Amino acid sequence: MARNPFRVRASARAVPDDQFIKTFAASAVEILRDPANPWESLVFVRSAPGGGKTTLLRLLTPGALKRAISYGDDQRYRATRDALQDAGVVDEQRALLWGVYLPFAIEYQTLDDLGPRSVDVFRALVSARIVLATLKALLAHFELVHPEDLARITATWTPVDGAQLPMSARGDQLQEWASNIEDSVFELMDELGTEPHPSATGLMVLDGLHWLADAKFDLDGQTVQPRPILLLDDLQYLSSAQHTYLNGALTALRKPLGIWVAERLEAMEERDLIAPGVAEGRDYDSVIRLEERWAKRGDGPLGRFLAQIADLRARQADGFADRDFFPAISDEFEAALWDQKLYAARNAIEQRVLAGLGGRERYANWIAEARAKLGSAKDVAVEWRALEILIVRDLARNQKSFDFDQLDRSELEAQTRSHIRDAAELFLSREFGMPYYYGRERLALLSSSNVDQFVEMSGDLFEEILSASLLRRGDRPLSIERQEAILKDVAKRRWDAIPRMSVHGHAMLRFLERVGEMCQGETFKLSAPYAPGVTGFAISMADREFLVVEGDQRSDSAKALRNVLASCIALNLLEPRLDAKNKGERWLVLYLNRLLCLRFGLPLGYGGWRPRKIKPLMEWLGRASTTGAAFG
Amino acid sequence: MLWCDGEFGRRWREHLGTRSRDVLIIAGLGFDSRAVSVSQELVGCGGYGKRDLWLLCYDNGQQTTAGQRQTVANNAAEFQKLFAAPRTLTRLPIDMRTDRARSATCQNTKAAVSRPQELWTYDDVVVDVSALPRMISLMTLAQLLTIFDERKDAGQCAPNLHVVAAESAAEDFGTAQNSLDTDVTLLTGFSGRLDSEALQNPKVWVPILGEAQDIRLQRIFDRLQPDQICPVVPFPTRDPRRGDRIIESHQRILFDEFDVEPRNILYASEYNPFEAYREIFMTIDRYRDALVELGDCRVFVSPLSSKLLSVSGLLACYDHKCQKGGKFDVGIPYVEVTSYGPSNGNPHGERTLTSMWLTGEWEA
Repeated sequence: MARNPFRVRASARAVPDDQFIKTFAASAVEILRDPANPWESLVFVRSAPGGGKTTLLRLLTPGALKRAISYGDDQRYRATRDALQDAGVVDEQRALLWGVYLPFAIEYQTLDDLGPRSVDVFRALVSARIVLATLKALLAHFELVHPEDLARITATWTPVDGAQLPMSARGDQLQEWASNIEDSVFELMDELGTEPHPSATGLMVLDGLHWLADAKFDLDGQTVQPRPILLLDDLQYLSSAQHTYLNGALTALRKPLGIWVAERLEAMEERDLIAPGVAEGRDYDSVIRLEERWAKRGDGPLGRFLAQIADLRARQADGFADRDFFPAISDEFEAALWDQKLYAARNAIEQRVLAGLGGRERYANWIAEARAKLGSAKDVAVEWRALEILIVRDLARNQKSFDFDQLDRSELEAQTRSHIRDAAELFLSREFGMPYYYGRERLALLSSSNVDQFVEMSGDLFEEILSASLLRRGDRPLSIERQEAILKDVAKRRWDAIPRMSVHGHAMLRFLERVGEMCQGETFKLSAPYAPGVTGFAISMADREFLVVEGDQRSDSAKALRNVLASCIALNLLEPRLDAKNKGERWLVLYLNRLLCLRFGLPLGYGGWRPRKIKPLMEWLGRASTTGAAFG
Repeated sequence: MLWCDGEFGRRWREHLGTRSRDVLIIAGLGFDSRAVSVSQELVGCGGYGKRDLWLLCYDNGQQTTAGQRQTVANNAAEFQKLFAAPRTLTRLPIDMRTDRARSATCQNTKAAVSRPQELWTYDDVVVDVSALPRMISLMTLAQLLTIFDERKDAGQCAPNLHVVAAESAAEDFGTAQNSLDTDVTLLTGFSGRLDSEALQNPKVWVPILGEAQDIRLQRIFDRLQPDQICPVVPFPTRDPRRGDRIIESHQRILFDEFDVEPRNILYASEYNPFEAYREIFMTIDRYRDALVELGDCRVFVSPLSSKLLSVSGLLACYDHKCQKGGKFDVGIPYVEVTSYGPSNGNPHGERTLTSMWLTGEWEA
């Protein structure tokens, strides 16, 4: 079988630069342009795992930029080069920046065991690695060979007080200086036994950072004009002390060096996670929360971005060249399969309405309107289900109305807004087994603005498309029934993985199950009062303050709730929206990840939420669901 | 030397019966139903000399179920009874998490077992890995091997070092819904210089496969970004279809996502951990030889299979670490369990007792 390109992690270093650029969605460059001064300031990029942080950083590395420029002559990839040009990263055929990419890892934390020397050694290791990564990046920018061509580089700077990096040195000398430091730290980290341990070099200042910000680089005696940009990835792996120190050093650097820092949301303090937006703009020029940025841009830009990702990946598959992804999945009910069932559903609803209070004279005009409705079988069935919801609502509002108060058609039209139709479609799918989770728009919504989530779902759909093509079933788009079945499997897989995603995994699972149960209960009330449905809960700002500010002095239950909420937000299982206003009060709304909405059979739009106090939320942590809220 | 099944009791009785021997057992206190059984078996083998216990009391900071707490209490009582005076029981606490919920297993295990002056008072040190989390058992062994080798290098005698286990595939792979750490941890001493910015030589990954390891594989792959992957599959095995099932269940991740060459798959005997050791050691050796021209290589072995196959992987890495040269390095990346869900394994399933004598008198 052709290898499924959706399974390839595009940002992974194992993926070569050419493949990376061929699968890069140009719309993502828009994010690079968000900060006011992106190439001379400090920018933090944060997201849940799979949000696309590393992909953004990798785009700015020399190898990727070279490919983006060279592939720019190809119509299929031109958008990336154009977007980079607009962002001031490239200029026609040359890169104006060279990204120095430095990832962090959990092993840095072992340095904390060194006691008073730990910060010195940490500084030394970070400095050494900045120097090493800089040399690699500069050679890559000029397409030279590492380490053979190191001697052709010279770096000159004005050392800050206490710095040990030489004022002027060739690349090979710098490489040796930095390698020795790195070696000495590895010796320390790899130490076993009880013999006296080797000593590691420590530094009093973050030499590497100041050096990169200040150094003038020459290649064969010619000044290097393009500017470096420091790309620090995965800062969530640092210990609390290291994270605090490094953030402090980065924010204190008052030099025009572009620094992009990517980290998972989990790197943030729990209080900042539960209070998103508070820290933004305080110390840094810019903080970008990827999922939130995409959500704010709206369905259009997000949809275009995801479509680019899907199309570029699909075209990498054997035998799929020049075909786009979305035309390969159906957006419509197949008439031969569904019309009969939909008409039967319509008739069943009509009978139900007439047999109940809908048969009263008051609704005669509405019923006549529904009967006259033209359109597809699905549209007609949805119209009838919407009518039923409206009658329930009207009855609840006008208990004492008389039959002769006949409602006219304009009132029906005024009330049958899109959200009622959405709710009606959802009700219809639940009652009559019609697919609901399918098609381009809903697939985009199901991503919850997270690239990995979208790629995982699309990858499973694509697997079936590839299988069908291998079995020579022609180019028929993937049916909506199969789409829903596949997406349900993805949702189940994601759900089953929750206990393994975090140290609070089991508590998160219990909590989310109760959230889903509450949302189901509110969504499927007969009058659909929060149409199209409830997909989240909200806590008041006072309760949020209680959790984040005074949590340390609170009960174990309050701390456990704070932990669970913070972990769910960090992993994008709950999507926070700060300061929603309702009836004069301000709320922190926490929506379920859209894939969990599928799990619970909920709608995919935002807007429907119910307020909850802290106490019942704490109770949700401890009690498993008694009803089993899962869908299907 | 390897003593399995029926040989286990007989050979230990012979070993302990030849002369008076002071024996230290290092075991774990957890909710594994096998925690005490090997100690009972060993103590039941008789012989003269001290019989003491270092009980590794690990804590991952997670809530446990009432059933799990009860099993721990039962195990603690059994250990207390078994090592009542004149025997001694020393509890060694190990915090597995920092206050930010990151792994501290390696550092704290290494510190807990680094008591050389006490170790030298014994003839035999027996590490029972049956109820120890993987990183604790491997860290204990790596540290003891190093301490013992340091002593031998100084021209002094070190105790015999044994590894024992009561293995049960049904129990080991029957636990569902465990929470895994989001981070990949490298065993202390075996970083493989993974994150080196100075090194650019090839990385070879040797995951020793067991059942249901998709998430671990994905996380370790993401972290390593290996240039070459050589999965190790247990074969021959007691259940002849086990190897096939393991490959089948990891088909998507191995072949679709990681692009593993089927010819790179290695087979390691489930019956004989020393044979598995040789297979892994030789594989690493071949890569070392082949990649000298590319600036050596870094090899990473992930112990994702049975406890004893994991020990085989550790031994292969340890021996290569001792013969380190050039830019070659060796690492052991793993993803720890952070909390255990309810077990759906069979606590009464068939168990195989195995004893590996790693270092000591037989080398003379």
